[in-house]
Amino acid sequence: MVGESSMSDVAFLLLVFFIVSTTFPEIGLPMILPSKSGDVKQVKRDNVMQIVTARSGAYFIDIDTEPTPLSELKGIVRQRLTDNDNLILSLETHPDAPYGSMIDALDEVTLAYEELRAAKITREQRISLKMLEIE
Amino acid sequence: MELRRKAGSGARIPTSSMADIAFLLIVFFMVTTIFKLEQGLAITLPRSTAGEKIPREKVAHIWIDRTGIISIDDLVISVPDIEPMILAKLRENQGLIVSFNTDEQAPYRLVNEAMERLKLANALRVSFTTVPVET
Repeated sequence: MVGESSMSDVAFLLLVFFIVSTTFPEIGLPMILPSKSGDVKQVKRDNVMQIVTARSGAYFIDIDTEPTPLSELKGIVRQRLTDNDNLILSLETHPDAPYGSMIDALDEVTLAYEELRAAKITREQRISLKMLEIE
Repeated sequence: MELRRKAGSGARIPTSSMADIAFLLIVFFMVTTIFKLEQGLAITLPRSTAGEKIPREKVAHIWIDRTGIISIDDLVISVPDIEPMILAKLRENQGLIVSFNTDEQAPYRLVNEAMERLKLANALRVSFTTVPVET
């Protein structure tokens, strides 16, 4: 018959401590910047896909005169990547364009790469699972 | 006088010191707890689907609001000040990640100039903080 009335005090203490000290992880799009001493590489024009974010926030791919809506960007990038493994994406943004537009484009492009990677892994896993079944 | 022995429980440990221990713990945590104080600027973060968790400990935040005010560690600074401040932080922590907490309406030029300074300071690990979109 230990004095159990202090158990609730300790419980509240722990609760308040964790309420006050809990932090949530930051979510963001990571990137590695090129170093200032990096070499300049020559690439073939065909291997580059330019996505230009204009001052209005509209997206222009390569030399198109018509803007591409954000929703179509991911699909087009996926298509071009499947066609050309060595594709280099060049994201260019007008200095007066809103930062949010750049992030939207970067987001769609990152998703395109992630989806292609996931599809590739699923394909390869299926193949190896099949081989296990045969054995 | 009849001596009656209680069935079951044997010796009793005095628990009167539980309160002392509780107070000791309270004082210990009160004295050692550090609360994160960085307030930053009032901004609306852009939304993204492809965001990843960024480990909090290695992060320095650059805040840029929509009017172009730049702030690091709650100090309002101008673009040329970015390089020395980040250099100092880099000295303390080689694996420093600089995260851009930028308003989605801020002109992209500010982010671009900040990134140029980061390249000069050789702080190449960068992250763009976003709010995850519920899919």
